[in-house]
Amino acid sequence: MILEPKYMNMVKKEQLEKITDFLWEIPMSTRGDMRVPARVYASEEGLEAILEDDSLDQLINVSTLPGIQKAAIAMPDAHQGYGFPIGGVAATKFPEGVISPGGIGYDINCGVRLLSTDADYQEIKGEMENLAQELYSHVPAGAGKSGPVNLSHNEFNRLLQRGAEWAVGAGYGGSEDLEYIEANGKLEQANPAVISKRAKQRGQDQAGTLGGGNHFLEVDRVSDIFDKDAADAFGLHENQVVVFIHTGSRGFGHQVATDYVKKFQSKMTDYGIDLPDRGLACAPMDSGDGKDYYQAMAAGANFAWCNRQVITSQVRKAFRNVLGSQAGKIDVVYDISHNIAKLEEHRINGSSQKVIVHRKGATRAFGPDHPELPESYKKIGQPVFIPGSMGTSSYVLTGTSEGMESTFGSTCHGAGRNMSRTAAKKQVDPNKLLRRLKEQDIHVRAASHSGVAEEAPLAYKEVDMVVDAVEKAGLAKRVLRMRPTAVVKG
Amino acid sequence: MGTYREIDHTADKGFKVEAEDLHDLFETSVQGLAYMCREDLAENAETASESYIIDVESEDVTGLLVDFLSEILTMSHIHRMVFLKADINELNEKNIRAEIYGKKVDHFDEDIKAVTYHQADIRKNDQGNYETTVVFDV
Repeated sequence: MILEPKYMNMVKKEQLEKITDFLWEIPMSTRGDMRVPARVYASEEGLEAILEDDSLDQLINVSTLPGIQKAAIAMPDAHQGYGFPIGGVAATKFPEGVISPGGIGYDINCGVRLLSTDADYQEIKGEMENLAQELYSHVPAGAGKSGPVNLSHNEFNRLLQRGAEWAVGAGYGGSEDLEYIEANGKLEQANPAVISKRAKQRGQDQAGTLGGGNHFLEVDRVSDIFDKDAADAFGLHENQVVVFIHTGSRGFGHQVATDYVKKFQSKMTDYGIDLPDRGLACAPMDSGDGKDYYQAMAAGANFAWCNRQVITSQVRKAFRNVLGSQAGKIDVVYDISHNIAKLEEHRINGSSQKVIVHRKGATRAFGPDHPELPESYKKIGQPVFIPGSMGTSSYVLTGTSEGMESTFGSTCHGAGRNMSRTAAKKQVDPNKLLRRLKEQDIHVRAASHSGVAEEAPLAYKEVDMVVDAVEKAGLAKRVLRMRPTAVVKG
Repeated sequence: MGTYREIDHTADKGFKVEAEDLHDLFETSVQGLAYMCREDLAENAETASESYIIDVESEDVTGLLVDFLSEILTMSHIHRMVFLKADINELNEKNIRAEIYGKKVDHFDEDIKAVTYHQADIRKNDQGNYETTVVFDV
């Protein structure tokens, strides 16, 4: 049975217990159906911003999921989502705990990839406008655009099974790229047989496309180094030109999620699951429905890794076209998802347990020595990328051992919005904004002017504040800061 | 005819729709979705050039509206069309059969990922009209 959402019971600050300056807890006694406490990692100022919408009511709802372990967790960039808050983490016990498509999001494996180049910003500064244009013409941006890949049904199924590895096999990049992708760009559980024909129809020509909304392709320069050892390990240094790719599984993933969210609506009674919000619809991981969804989600994740791999190849072409040999070698620093559920081992109550970690608008941030990290990053920890908005800085951080204990090795995924798209459109003149950015040497190419207004810097929280909270809460450590120089938006 | 108006939502987009009866609420919601996809075409239902019949089943009337709009959004992406109008042939609390009329487009204003169940709740208001909010993931 699913009840209607309780949106009018907004959580008040006095209901939270302050644990540290950067951790707040909503105790289990707050609502009778909570199975674990709800925890928020944020500064006091950040918490007050989070309290302005329904995020924490949604977090309490997440704490009622069958099998949830330790706590329902919100990140410093949390804001209201649907079912789960964006910036939410929930780990459920494997295999009997539930998997919830709402805890992953409609854009399965939306994520960020960072590429390093050999180019120095001062030397190629004059080419940034050309680069923006060339990238825009190589990577289709905006809604409903086709990409460079268009596959037969059978070949598309192979793409779904092999992810980024398929792209490399098809000539989009080299096998050395795969080592620097979360899960090496492929979840083995992917099964094309549990995916609708229409999802495949929507995805068949979309690999290599950026999409719209907050997705972007950005050329940045490394502006400040905070941890030289970590920066060296990632092959990054001051004034270096780097490329940031933010996109996901496009229409394919959206349709997979839509299909399963609908399917699970009618299954709650069968599983005897009683939820406070239908956006949390879920199934036990050890049920046929739970397994089917996990396999479908894995295919969505593989599609997204393939998408970012094809885009990487297009970026290399665009750089060569503009800079010739000056572009040098373009390497993958890392590729990380912020909308996914993964089977992971974590220490809970002193023992190691297998859990399904849902990260929705939250980034995996494994600490040093984790077996899933590439050899060259093992001592340092996993790279984490926190994009700001198109006019502000972005950060590279590393995961920490402390974060492994407190948040299942997770951290935030961005600055987080603080203004609606409608309000931003009313307040921002996109032409003026583009001119102002150009004066700051930030060259923007966008598929739609209204999209530029909706994504204006003023619509986002201050990324420095979010990163500061993440670091002070011990969830990740700052390595360096980057500033945008050329931006492609959907 | 019912009305829809765009609402503020921090990360996503949505509208509030109100109509005298359910039939009208569903038809007006189709116009609301068209407005989200292509603001410039939403008022030009007469420019639709193709139609499809769709059948949708759901657990309850609120779920039915979300699933109905979801089906239209899927059709929009597959056929690269904006659906400007719907004629409802059958409607009860759990089923709908409708003919939807669309126009081919080369782009959409927004990359709408999904129609969500978030805040959707069809109720009668103080004026005796049906109303609900519909939120889209963008």
